[in-house]
Amino acid sequence: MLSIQNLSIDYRVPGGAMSVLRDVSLDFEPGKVTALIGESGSGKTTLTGAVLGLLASNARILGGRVSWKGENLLEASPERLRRFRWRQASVVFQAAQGAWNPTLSIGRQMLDCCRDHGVEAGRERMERLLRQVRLDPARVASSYPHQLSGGMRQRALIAMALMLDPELLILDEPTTALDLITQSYIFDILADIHRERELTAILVTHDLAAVARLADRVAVLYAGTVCELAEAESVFENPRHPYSQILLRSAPDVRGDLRLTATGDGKPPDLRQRPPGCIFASRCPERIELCLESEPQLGSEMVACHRRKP
Amino acid sequence: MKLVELRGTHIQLGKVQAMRGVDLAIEEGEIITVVGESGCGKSTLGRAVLGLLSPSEGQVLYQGQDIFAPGYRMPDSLRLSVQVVHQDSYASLNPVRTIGQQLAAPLRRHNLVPRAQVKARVLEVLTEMGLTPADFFASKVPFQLSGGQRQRVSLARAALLKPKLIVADEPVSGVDATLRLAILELMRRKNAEGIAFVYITHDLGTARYLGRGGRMLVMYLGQVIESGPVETLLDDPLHPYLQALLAALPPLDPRKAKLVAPLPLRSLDMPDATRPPSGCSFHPRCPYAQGRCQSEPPSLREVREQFVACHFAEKLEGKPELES
Repeated sequence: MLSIQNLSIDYRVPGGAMSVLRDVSLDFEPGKVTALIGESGSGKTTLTGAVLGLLASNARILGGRVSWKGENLLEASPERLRRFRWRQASVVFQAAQGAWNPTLSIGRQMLDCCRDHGVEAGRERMERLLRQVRLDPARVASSYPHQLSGGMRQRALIAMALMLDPELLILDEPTTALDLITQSYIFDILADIHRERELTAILVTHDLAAVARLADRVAVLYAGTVCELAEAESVFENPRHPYSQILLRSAPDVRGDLRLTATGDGKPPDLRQRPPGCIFASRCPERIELCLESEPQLGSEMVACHRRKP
Repeated sequence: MKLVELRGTHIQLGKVQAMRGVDLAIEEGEIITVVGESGCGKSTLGRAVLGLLSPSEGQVLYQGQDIFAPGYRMPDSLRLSVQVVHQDSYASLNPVRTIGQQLAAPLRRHNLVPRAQVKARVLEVLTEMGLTPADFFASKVPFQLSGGQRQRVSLARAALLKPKLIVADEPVSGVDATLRLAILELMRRKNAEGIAFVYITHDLGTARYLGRGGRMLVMYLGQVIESGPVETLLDDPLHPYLQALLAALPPLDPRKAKLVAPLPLRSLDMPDATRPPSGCSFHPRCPYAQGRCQSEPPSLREVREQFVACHFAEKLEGKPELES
């Protein structure tokens, strides 16, 4: 359904270009939740931006394909992308970051999205969706964003994302900046929705708890490359790439699992001038000579590491 | 000796009663972890310990001395004995001075080492914090460093003055996940050298990690609702709020995480802090609340190994099932 092939993207910055995505290939399986995890700057948001045609103005696509049912979205017209967005793919942004228009009621904004896409009277649908995210439609539809708590705004945003019954749902840090109890409630709602609709979803997050709760598959990103792609269970139980191992074992568990590794700072790579070889080599505890010379490919093992190749 | 003590301390911030009657005595060399969600008053507690907020009721004592007693002027030595590491390392460092300059300033200001040795001392503390080569880092300004490195500088600055206590308010929340543990380890090392810590965080995982072996306070709407040994609290929470928090944290294991059931709270939303609920602050959300909880505020009382502010703590043990 959705497949990304050899996508490379730069951002123009003063004095050159910063390589944010480099030769990324990923398939998204229909009906599954694929999580993109990685630290800030790993390229997660740029990747979803490329799918939606919502890249920053200084982004430059160097090559690759974003293929949606055979169509290359990178070559689609703005009007085609406008229809693609929301009808076929919608996004749940972080509500805290001004995803709502503060001057219009929640109901008005939800119905506007139907009208703009030429979809008939959405009121009934809106009420059903608000109930599904466990909000009271009578109260919420007539409220303005500031009248709702952060958790309620986020849930309303999930309802809004489902208004046009999209085939792909992108969850961009859907629970960041919410308190724990609200987060857990939102995980619950998302899990229910996913079960019911068998939506294909992309979960962008740095929160491992969210990944454990919702994801079927996990792609680990580091400095604009995919270092590992695997089933969620196997990533948590047996991460293979040295970076995945460090990432997974650097989150102390509240239940006291102390399989932890503290790592030194190392030197993060300079993305204005990608070094030859493996991008993680500068911080990798298992680096060998080969890693500095040749760039490892994901390959059929789905792990981009020379040390993990047969 | 009690380094810092809060005695029935209330802090009023505008209309908000940010801290409502907290008792806390910090002993030499211990780590106290303070957890709770945003708005619970944990940062206010940190600022009260730092002596930055004058209590509207109760007292703040440093080594037995009420620091807000009329006419009392704190000597520098006492002032310097308590230091801070803030969450936002970018905002808490001077953007236009080099790391070396800003670390040297307090040493000079307080004549803590002979002038000729200031530079050597700065380089020494940078090395100790893993910022090597130290003279390279001393010549940088904050924006040239990563978040993790800046936070090491903040810790260096706090440790440089040889304090007895460091208040660390969310010191790793802004640091990349893979670099957090190393900074927490540095704090453990400083603690092993005898510096006490108050570690304030919303992250129960790092609370358990850094605070292991120490005491933990759980705050809700400006009050401490449960306290005791870190491991006991997290493995066997007595207060329904702490139970709800822990139930909301899925295990980092996809098989188990997909099966968790959150505690059925009656309301998700934190009440308005300007008008805290009557009786037990948690009663509007508590699934076990009874009539008594609405009218009578529970006091923090000892139950087994911990202290808990809940009328029904004993009855909620194990699988809580209350007669209505």
